[in-house]
Amino acid sequence: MDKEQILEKLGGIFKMVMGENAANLETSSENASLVDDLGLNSVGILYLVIAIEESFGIRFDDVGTSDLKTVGQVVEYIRSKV
Amino acid sequence: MNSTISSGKKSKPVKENRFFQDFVKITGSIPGLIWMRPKVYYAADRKKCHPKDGIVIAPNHVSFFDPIMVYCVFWRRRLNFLATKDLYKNKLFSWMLTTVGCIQVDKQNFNMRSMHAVVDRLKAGKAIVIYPEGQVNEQEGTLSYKSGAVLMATLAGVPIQPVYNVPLKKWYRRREAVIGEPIDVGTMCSRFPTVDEMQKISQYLREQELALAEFYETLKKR
Repeated sequence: MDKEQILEKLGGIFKMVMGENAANLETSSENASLVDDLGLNSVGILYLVIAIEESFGIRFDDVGTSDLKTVGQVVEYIRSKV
Repeated sequence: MNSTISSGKKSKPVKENRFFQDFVKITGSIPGLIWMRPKVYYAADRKKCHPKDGIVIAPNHVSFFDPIMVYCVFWRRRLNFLATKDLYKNKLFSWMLTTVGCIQVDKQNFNMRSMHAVVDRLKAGKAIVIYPEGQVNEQEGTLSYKSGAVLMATLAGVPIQPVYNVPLKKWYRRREAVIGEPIDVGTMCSRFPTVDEMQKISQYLREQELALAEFYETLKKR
């Protein structure tokens, strides 16, 4: 799975987690901060990770909420697992 | 990115010792009962307030001794608590916390391993105690509720039990608590609610807690 496909799928997950307030991932750079740019709090990041796990069929066992800071880091982690 | 992310380590299952858990519960509850002399009030049908399946017990946090009080209130169940990482520095204490079924959490960097441990235990029908205020509240009133408890209950598909711990005016006074009817989170939102929806449910949970406080005040005025 390439970066674009992951980003597209991730966009849908963001919409599910954030609802109407979700930022458009296509316009966000991979350096976009999950907290500052996308408005997620620590519970939001946990929820995002759970949603990614269900959607991609992977498990993020050794990741903490502070380890994932940007969209790029999330994409890279998914790529390393799928 | 943190090096532990891509390390691919597998999570170790937490070894829970039921015998030791019961031993600690019984030996710990005797001095707890003598000192606290707990009094429990029910704001709903008593049977409904003691479900046997998986549940998130969400009390307000008024003192460091609240876990003992929760054990006295739900003495029939084996309870699982979330314990902060700092408590695991001492090896003996770390072993004890793990054996009695506590789940280690890092408040600053909540690990997915802890999250999976909580959800797995809830799905297995266990009771987990989570303080939604996130810290001991030494002021009057209730702090704002974080939505972690709602997230965990939603993912596991279990209800949340509101419990109101009456704040102590003097340390030697009798400890009191009011138990409310469990809230079925699943009926309040979809399988995957948004972050805002979870925040609203947390707010509702806090309102229920305040309603229990009012219920207690009404009982005391009678």
